[in-house]
Amino acid sequence: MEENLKKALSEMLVLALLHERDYYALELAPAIAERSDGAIVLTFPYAILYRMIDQEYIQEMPKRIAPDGRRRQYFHITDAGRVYFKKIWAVYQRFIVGVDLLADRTLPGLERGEGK
Amino acid sequence: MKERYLHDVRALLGCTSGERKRLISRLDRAVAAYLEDVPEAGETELYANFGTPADCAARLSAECAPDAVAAAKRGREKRQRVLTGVLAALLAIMVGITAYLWSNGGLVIIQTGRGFLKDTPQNKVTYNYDD
Repeated sequence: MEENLKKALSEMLVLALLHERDYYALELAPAIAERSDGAIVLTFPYAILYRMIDQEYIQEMPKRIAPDGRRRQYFHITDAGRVYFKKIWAVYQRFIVGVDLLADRTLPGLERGEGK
Repeated sequence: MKERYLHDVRALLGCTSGERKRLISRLDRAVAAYLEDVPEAGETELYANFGTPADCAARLSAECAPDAVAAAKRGREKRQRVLTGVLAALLAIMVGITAYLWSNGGLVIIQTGRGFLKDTPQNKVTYNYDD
């Protein structure tokens, strides 16, 4: 179940980062891990990026020198990507509200954070 | 390493040839980008970042239309059945020819200078060699 959930959310998480600024591929997994306190591990970032390039949600930018001193390929979110991100973010928000409601009504004694 | 990986993934993709070409082209670009970022990466690192060929092919196949995947699979199975049938028919023909020649003493009689056959049997060819 966790793998399927990660697959579904990966694009949204990458777009969330790119919404803020351009990233290069190797920055994405550490950034997601750091901002989620290690709860989320991004796998296969390159496959995700190039799938979204095909979908025209992101684009490759001219290579430039990264903070680590190496020339890196940066990725930038497109206008279509911003529209898509807003849509899936709204879907995600509705989904988690629904899940929380169901959990409250079905399993009122369930502690939040069980299963960690 | 990249070419072998792409070859292995392509062999496992259950999509139509058009979809397969598109997905492999995209994977090629992604793997090339990764290897440019991490030139020292080996097979272990490649698998960690893209999955084993089987895992990668399974994820990519999930992007293909299910009907198209089923049609491609049916097409492959049909081609295999046709090929098996053709090979079986060729084998049967060769066995039949061999059995016929065996029972009729062959097609060719090779004779040396002494003891030529006076009357060559029908459906036989004679080669006469002088000593």
